[in-house]
Amino acid sequence: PSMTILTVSEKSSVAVLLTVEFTKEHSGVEVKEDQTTSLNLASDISFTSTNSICRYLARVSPAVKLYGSNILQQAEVDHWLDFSTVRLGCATEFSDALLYLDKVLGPISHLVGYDVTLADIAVWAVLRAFSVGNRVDGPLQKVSSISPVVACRNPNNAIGTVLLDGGMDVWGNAQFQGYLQSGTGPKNVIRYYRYLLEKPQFQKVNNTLPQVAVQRSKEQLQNSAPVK
Amino acid sequence: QSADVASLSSSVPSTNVQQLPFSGVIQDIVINANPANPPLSVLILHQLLAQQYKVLAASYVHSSVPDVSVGLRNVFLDNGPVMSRSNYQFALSVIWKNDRFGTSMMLSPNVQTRVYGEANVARYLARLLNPAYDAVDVVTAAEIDHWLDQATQVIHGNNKERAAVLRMINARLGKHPWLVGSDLTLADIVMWSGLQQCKMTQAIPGNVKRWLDVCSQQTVFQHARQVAIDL
Repeated sequence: PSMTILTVSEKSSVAVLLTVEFTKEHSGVEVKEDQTTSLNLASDISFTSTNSICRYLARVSPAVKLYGSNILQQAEVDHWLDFSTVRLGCATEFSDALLYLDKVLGPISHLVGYDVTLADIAVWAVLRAFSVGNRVDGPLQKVSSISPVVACRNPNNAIGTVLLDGGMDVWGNAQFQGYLQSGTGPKNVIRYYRYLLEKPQFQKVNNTLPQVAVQRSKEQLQNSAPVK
Repeated sequence: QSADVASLSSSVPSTNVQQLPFSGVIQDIVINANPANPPLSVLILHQLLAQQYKVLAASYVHSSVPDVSVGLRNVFLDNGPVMSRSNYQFALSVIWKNDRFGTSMMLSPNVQTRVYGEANVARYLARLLNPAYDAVDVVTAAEIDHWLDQATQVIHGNNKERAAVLRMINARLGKHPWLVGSDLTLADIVMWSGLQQCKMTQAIPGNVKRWLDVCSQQTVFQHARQVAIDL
C-alpha cells in the first residue's frame, strides 16, 4: 500500500498528539508538520476528526494495544471515545461527567484493562485541553472530509480560556487545571491525571502545550497572559 | 442471507468467522434501550448473528417505562423451539428503560464499564460477526467509523446537525450505492436505524430516499423495518 501520511500542527488535538507518541515506532505512518491535521490514506481519502485518526493509528499499531486486548475492551474504548467528546468535552455535561469519571476511577488506574489505551488518551486530553475539533476547511478535504462528533461544538460552550489567536481549536480546560493546582475537586480523577502524566509520552506532549490559565477570577484571567 | 454476512464483514473470507470468542459458555449480552429511540440496528445485527450463532433473544420492560408498545414489548420474534439455555451461545436481552444517555450494553458487570451508544453496541456485535473487523482492511474500518460517528450525531444531535449529516450522506449516495465500499456495511445499518428512529424519513433528499428503500428491501432489515413502521 502507498505511504500513509499524517499531518499535524500545533493546533492538533491533544489526543492525536498523544496517539502519535504511542504509535510512531509501530504504525508505519509518516508524520509531518503542516497547517492542518489530516490523515491521508489514499489520493481521495482523508480523515480529520480526532477519533478517526486515533482509531486508525491504534489499528495499524496492534503491538501497542491502544484499542484493548479483546472485543469487550474494544467496546469499552469505543465508549470512552464517545464519552470524551459528547459528555466530558461538553460544557453543559462536564461537571456530571467528571463525577461519573471519578466514581469509575475509584478502584482502577486505567479506564480499560491494565495499560494505556485510547480511552485514557481521549479522556486525559479533554482534562488537559478541550479540543473543539479540527477545522474542516483544509485543502485536503475530499471524499471523507469529517467534522468531529461533538454534541456542543460551539466554542462558546466550551469551558476554559482561549490560548492562541485566530480560529483556534485548542482550549485549555481551565476548570480541571484549576482543580489540579488547588488540590480540590475529584480526587480519583486528579490521581489518575497525575499518574498518566508521569508516563514519558504524556510528559512530552504536555510540555509542548501552552500552560492553561486556570479559572479563578476575572481579574486573574485577564492578567494571566498565555504562556507558550 | 449469507451474502449479507459476507458484505458486512467486508472482504473477509468466512473461514475464521466461525471462531467463537467465548467457547462452551453462554454469553449474556444485555442491552438497555429507550423506547423513544429503539436501536433498530440491534434487531438487524441480531438477524445476522442468528445466521452464525445460536442466539436466545428476549425483551423486557423496566418499570420506568410502563407504556411500551406491544411491538417493542415483544420485539424479538419466535426463537424457535424452546431449549435450555445451555444450547445457546449468546443470550441477547433488550431491556426497555428510560436512560437519558440512550442505548447501552453490559456483558460482565464485574470487569467492564457500561458501554453507551448504539453505534458502539453495533461495533461490538459486528466484531462478534467478524473478529477480524479491525485488522483486515483498516481503511474500510476507518470509513465505517466515520459514518458511525455521523449516525451518532443523528441519534443525539439537534435538527441542524441532523440536516448537515443528511447533506453529507446525500452527497456520498449520489455517487455510490452504499455509504462505504460497494456493499452493505455496518455504516448503512446504523445510519438507517438513526434516520428511522428520528423519524427523518420524510422530506429527505432523493439519493438518501433511494438508499433507504434499498436498505429496507434487504432480508435482514425486514423485521426492523416492521418495528420502525409501528413506531
